[in-house]
Amino acid sequence: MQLLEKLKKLGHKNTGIRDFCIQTIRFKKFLENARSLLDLFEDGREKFTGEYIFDRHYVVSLIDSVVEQLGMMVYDASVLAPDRGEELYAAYDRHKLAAANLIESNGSRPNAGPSESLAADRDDPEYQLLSDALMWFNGKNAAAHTTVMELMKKIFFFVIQSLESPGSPERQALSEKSTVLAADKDFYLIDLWKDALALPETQRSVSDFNSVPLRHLLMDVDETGGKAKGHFQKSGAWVAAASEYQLSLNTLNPDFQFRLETLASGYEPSDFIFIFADSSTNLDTLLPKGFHVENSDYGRFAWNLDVSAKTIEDSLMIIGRNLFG
Amino acid sequence: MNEQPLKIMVIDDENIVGKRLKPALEKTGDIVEAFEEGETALARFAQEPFDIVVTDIRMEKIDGIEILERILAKSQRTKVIIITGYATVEIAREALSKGAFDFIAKPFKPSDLRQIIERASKELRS
Amino acid sequence: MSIYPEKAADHEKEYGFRFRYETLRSLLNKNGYALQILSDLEADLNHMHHYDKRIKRPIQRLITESLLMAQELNLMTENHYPDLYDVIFQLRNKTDQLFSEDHAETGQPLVWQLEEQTPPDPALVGGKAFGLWRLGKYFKDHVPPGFVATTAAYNRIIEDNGLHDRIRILLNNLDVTEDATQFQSRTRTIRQMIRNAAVGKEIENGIKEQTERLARQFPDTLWAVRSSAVSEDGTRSFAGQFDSELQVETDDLITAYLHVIAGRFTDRAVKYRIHHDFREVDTPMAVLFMPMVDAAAAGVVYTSDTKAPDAEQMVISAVPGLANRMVRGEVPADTFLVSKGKKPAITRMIPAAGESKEAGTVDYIASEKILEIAQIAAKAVEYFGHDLDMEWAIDKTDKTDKTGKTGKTDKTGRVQLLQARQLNIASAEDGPTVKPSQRKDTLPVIEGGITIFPGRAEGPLTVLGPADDLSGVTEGAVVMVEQPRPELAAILPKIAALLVMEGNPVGHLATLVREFSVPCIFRLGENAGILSGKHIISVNATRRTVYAGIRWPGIRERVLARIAAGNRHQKKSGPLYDLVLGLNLLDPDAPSFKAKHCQSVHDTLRFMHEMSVRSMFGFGDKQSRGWHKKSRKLVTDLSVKLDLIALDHSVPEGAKKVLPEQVHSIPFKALWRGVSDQRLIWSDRWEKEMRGMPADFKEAVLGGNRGPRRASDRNYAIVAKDYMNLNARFAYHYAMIDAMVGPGTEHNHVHFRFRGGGAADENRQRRARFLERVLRESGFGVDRSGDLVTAWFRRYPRKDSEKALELLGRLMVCSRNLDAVMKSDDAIKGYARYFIDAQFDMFG
Repeated sequence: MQLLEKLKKLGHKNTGIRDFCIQTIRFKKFLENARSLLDLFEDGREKFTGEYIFDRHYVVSLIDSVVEQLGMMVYDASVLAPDRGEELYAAYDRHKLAAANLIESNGSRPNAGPSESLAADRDDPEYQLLSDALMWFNGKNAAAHTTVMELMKKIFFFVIQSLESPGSPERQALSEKSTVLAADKDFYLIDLWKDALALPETQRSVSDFNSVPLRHLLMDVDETGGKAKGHFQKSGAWVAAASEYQLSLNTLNPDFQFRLETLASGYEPSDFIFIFADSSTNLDTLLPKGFHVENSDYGRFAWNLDVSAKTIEDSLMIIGRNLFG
Repeated sequence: MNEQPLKIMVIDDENIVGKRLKPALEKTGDIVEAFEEGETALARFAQEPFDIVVTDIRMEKIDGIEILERILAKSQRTKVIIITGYATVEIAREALSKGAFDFIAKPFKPSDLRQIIERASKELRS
Repeated sequence: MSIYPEKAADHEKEYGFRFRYETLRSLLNKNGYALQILSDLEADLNHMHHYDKRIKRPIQRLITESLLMAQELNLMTENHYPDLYDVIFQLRNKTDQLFSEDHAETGQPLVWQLEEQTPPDPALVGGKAFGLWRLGKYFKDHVPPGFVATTAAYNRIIEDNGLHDRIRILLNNLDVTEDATQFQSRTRTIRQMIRNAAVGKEIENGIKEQTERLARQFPDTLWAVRSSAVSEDGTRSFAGQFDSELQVETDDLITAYLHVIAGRFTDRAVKYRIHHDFREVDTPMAVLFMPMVDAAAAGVVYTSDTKAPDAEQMVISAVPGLANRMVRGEVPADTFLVSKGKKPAITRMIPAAGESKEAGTVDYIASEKILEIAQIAAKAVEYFGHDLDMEWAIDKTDKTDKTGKTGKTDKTGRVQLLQARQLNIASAEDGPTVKPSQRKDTLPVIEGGITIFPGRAEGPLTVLGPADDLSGVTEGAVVMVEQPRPELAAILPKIAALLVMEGNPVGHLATLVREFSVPCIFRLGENAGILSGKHIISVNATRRTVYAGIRWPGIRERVLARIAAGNRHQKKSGPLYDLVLGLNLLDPDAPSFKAKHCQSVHDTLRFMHEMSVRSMFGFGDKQSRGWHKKSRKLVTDLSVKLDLIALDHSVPEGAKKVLPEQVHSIPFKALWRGVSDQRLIWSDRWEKEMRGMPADFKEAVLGGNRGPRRASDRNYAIVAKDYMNLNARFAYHYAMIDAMVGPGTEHNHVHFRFRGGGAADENRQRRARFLERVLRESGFGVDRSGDLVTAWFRRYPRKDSEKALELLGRLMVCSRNLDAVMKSDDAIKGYARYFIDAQFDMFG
């Protein structure tokens, strides 16, 4: 049997929901790794623009950390989207090489002699290296497809595509069990840490489900609601995989790609909200202010990272109103 | 800071540090001289002592520890502040045990160094 | 999907191999992270209540890591361990269950009396009651009795009435600035819900019992019911004062109690907390009940002048009657400045109205009472070890007269202390604000040394000389000494942290430090002397950093909780401990070493680590073929058989064999320097004596095939430039080293595991104890159970990590046959000394 087949067939009989839960939890980890990567970009930018005094070592270890963190993302992606693993690792290796070249070429550049010491700051090799590194991370003027950010977007797209492909074993598992369908709304409801062990005996209702973000999302949606309205009407059935402070929401409608991931625990600084939607979706009418939005060939990404759980909960209410209201 | 301006010497062979620090430290009216060569700096120090010496720990010809020792041998009251790179805590510890006033790790903001200098000047003037 | 269809099979094999590499790396990486969470939890669970929400998140994170590791192990082994999933999901559900269970069952009192002898947990009784309890210990006659409805009672009420989510949701969609009316109506609703809440019988009875107890001493008394929370910002904000109900009749106590809780949700309090992003319901409130003091005068004393910290004077403000109107700012107060020192004197009196005078009096309080307050306050500062902000009152009717007759009814009544909390002084060094510095980049004053016990702490610094009296050390102090001395053991239960400039990490004191779980750093060096000028310091013993001032919000409370818990002699056990930290799978060769037998998260980690390593080297497994193809034999004169697999280009490609110097892996090179140390003796006495005997007989004599591999099998090391994972069987024992040595310090680690041997059980244990001893003395963290030794050396710079690996190399060679040699317990100490003194000829 080929390896890819094996990877695909990992889940044997009746473990579809369990695998769905594990993959959803891994996806959350994947997002955490992405977040750390963005934090590294930010750190570099801050040092570059913020009058900091640093040395070459700082830049080298920053580049190193980016490679390390990107590797973790690529690994998660290769588990979440096994078909894409090889392609992603090839791209990763290219970036690893690019990182090594970046460090080497800068190191071989002759140090500015005393006569040049009045040259502009940006000519200092450390600053040059950091500038090059930032360009490599997510420079706006960098040649297409050469930035880490570009690869990140690609990874995201592959992962989401794979998770949501109708043929994925996890997706298929949803239709196996009728008790995961909510009693009150057009929702598949999965308790991430409980349903993996045993499926509920009877149908649950969304309004009783113990997930703080899910409750916020649906706070202003009336009892009969749950079917999306307006331009989101085409959304069809939803899948909500949740735990106390966590929510992973997406739709089964093949024509409308939308995914929302959030952690809003208030206990640690890793709370976040992340949204992916296909290019046809107008995020402006959906999201409250304050989101960072990235458009790409693959679709639209939006996130809000450095926010309190309360802000996330407020955002969820607005998004809920706009989606289902 | 309406007292006498401080005389500050900055030594770093990476030149970037001196170049960026000098204007930043001069903003508060202190007198700053920057050097890229340890020997040149020490020769200048021999002519006239400085209140505060800020030196990188790792330099090609003379390292910061040696600078520290030679400065303190000449002028006990001078406060020597050591700039350390990443993960050179060990050396920083050595520097402190040899009488350095304090150390600051890169990356840092000039304002962070400013705070240390203010502490040093407080001690100088007490 | 393949780009080269004709080569698809090859290609896929290549990628399959790569994927397995990366999977193992990811798994080992997670394992390292998980072990770190585990050791933090170990420290936390020692002194925190096991249902404490603060340890819920790390436990959930730990279980998530464990679950993802299980997925990775299954990816490596063709889904060989599906049972792990059930085990891990169950662990998560069981721990969740523990956190949501009724806390009363965990023995938390709902009502607690202030005169209790055993120290309370501040998180349970609230900061105010905790401060009063401490005052009561020192000034028995000056603290009125009382009792507390604990945070457990609060939680019970919130839970019983299903208020948790309702409150949160009401609060969460409030936008203070945009709609003031809505804001007010929401907070009103919350207050209404709380006032209407039912208070369970158990709490009601607890309160009744206490009031009856106190009624014997104070018949017909009225009550003061106040929040026991210390205001969250640490400064003297008066927000807390609004949570008081005074002059309450005994019959109205329950109503007053609910009103005080509801006071938590006044517009002002809510705005304040929303602004600071506190979670409302997750910070439960304790409420303090005390008989009203019939006050002739009352006020506040600051033990230092916040406006002139260096002035060596206290500031006492006073009003006639009760103080609450003063602290609310309704009544202006008279202020007395009192000089500190042996004979305090009033140096200045600033009346509420009128001119300031050199010294003076007011008609409602006698000067000697002001001085008595100052004296008590000065003593309290000594006991607490920091400046205080205390509330006082002069009792009009001194009821302590045991004869039962009415006492004096004048302005010279007894001084009563009603509250004490830390006073933060904004000195020039701390900057203009008293808010704790939370800047990420604030630099430590001192960095370095050796961690004896990890953890963070903060408190007032006490520097002890060799001759200093230990009895003067205050509770919660950070103590610094030059040399460790055994007498220090006496103060370990009550101090926040210990800093030692020199010190032997294996000495007696270090052992005791670990036992008492006191965050501690040894060998800080002489320069630690520069700390002596600091008043309050913050210590991170895990990272070996010391900072000036207060640094981490909440740490002080945790430190005091630990000290209190230590005094309660809490044991390392309990259901949560068993589910997370307990270790039951000890012997990898035992038939019970199976996924389904894992009972704790710790078990799952140990199991997965073992199985991933086994799978990696495919013992008798078809998976091994891929690896063998990639492996290179190490060429050496020493009797070590080692195959290397490189994760990157750290081993030359193409060649089947490599020399040690061709391996460009920092950790491997360091280890090899140790193994190949010229001073070591390599005479394999067992091998020699048994030469010529049949292999199976040899195995029978030496203990047989107890490990995962036969002795004749080769050993493997996975290497990369900055990484090494080595699995070795040098002589009938199993050793594992996992090391990351990079340019930074943050990710560096050296993990070591050692188990087994050919000799009898007790001899194997002796060797394990020998290893434990040597490793401890060399700065490793060590955990030993039976003949299994686990040691770690984390977050050290490259040089130190390399030295640790060199030591491990020497140690593995020297201890190869020690189990056969160590016939008695005395030998353990002796051999450890030989090793440390580099007398390697003793190990021949």
